[in-house]
Amino acid sequence: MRERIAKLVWALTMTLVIGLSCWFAAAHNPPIAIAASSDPVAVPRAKGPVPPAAEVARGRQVFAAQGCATCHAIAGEGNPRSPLDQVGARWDAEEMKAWITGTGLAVEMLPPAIAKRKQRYVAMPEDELKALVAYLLTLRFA
Amino acid sequence: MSSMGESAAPLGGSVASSQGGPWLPRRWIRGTLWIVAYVLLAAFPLLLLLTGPVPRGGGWAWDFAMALGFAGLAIMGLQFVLTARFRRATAPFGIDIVYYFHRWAALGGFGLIVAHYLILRLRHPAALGSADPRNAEWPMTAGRVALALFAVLIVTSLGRKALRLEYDRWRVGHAVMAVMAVALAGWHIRGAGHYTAETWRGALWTGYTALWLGVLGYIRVLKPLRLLRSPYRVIEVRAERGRAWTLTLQPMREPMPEFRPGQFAWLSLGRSPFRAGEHPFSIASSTTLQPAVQFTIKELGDFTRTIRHTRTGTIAYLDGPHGVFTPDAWPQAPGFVFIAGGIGIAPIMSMLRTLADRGDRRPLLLVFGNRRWDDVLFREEIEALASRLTLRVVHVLQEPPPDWRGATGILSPPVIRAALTPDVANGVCFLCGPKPMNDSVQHTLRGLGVPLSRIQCELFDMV
Repeated sequence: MRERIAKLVWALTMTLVIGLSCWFAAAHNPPIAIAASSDPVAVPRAKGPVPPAAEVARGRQVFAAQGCATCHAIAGEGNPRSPLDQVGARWDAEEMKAWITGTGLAVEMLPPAIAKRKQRYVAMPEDELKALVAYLLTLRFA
Repeated sequence: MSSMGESAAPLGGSVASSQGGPWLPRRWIRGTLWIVAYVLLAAFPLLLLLTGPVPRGGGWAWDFAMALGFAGLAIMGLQFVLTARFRRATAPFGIDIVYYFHRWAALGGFGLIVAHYLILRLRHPAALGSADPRNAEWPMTAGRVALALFAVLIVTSLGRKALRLEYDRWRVGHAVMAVMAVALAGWHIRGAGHYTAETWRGALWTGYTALWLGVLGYIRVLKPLRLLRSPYRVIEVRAERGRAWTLTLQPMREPMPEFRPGQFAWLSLGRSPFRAGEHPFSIASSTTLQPAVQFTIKELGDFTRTIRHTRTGTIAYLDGPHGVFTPDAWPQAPGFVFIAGGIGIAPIMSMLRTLADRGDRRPLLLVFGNRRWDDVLFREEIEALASRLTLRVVHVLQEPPPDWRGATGILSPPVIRAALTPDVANGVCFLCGPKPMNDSVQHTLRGLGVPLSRIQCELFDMV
């Protein structure tokens, strides 16, 4: 008898949390809102000359080595919460650097915990940071 | 009447005054409230994260996986609460069933956590980053280690006997690993989480995890401190039939709350209550013997084999009373049927002794299965009790002596059917024996038309 009640409570709890998880997923992903398309800054803008291919390739390596994909996605690869597709169309090199290192304009636009977390990249070697910025600047189109 | 363990209501000889009292409905109401509290606490993180504006999602699968992670950790954290042995919260159910639920909850919580990991592994492998702890983000490594620890916890608990893990060592390891796993998983969420990035959500999340730590502090510090205030002393160690020993304990100061016949307590002998060395045993004595309590313990495992060496004067601590395996939960029952195997007679002795001391005249039946006649625990006393109670005793022996004229074999359906005469057929049945016996007798009784609600079992094979 009591075992049956225990199993029932268990089933109820599991059903409730899985149901809430579905609700949670649905609430975070409303069917229509495509944030990027309605974003006014998403219009591609020319941001200076195209960086050299070698530097871009190096930047790609830095992106992988620093584990950027744990928080960001590019072309669907990585953490989809903060996609970086088209990011090169939004910011110039200086702004990009501020976003990466959680300084300057990024301080006001990011949640404090995230800005603080990004500040560790201030210590990144200058050439790596430059390569990373170069790579991100190539992400101008979806 | 108050719930058991809280000594607001008179026990012992005056229990007749509580007959017809609202014990059962109140127990149901309390039980339901505690279940609702549990379910809400399990759902709390998701409810918290769904309150207020929600951040932009990362795709259905991504956010679903995140939600499963939160729910899984909530259920794992609540495991500490379930086994904290809060008497008030466990009294409506019986703590044995809470431990039973603990096992199911562990599997459910682990399933959610594994699903959390697998969905991300399959759908977003790049987001997991390197598995090498030297290159990985610390919170991600913490999450991976927590997952592995949860797996080890489950395997060592469900397979403790198969793996031949000694109980006391297993208990310490279980507690240490559980704390580590939940702490690492909490760090994983704080470190990796976007959801708890907002200050107020972060603070509520911290408060919620602090609740688990608070419970832990209660179990490891406050509760032992309270036990320390009420030590018992072993005043007698008596050999019984069948390699069993009866310990009589007398409180030195404040006794534990009054028990009901059939309840049990966690006993720790000759150690500090701060050390994990306690074992659950049924109380065998009459409630009228209080504040003294007696435990009858058979030599079966590592700890019980040492009981015979206990000296009088040894200090002991009792955490109890616990359990709902008691006829006092059924004040209006027309009679009782007790079905015991071997040492399973211990709580039933407490019931028979108490009922005799109270002068209860309801019809009783005891079906008692043993291997040999010489090993039948309390054989003589049961005979004496039969003359003070309206009690019929059916002994069943697996290895009967040549001149035996009673029932033989195990407690099989024909044996039970023959014993269950109409005078006790409407009584409440108490089964206490090895799990296979309990299961088979329960099946037999169901086949004889006894409703499940009238069959009481103690699940004393907790781990």
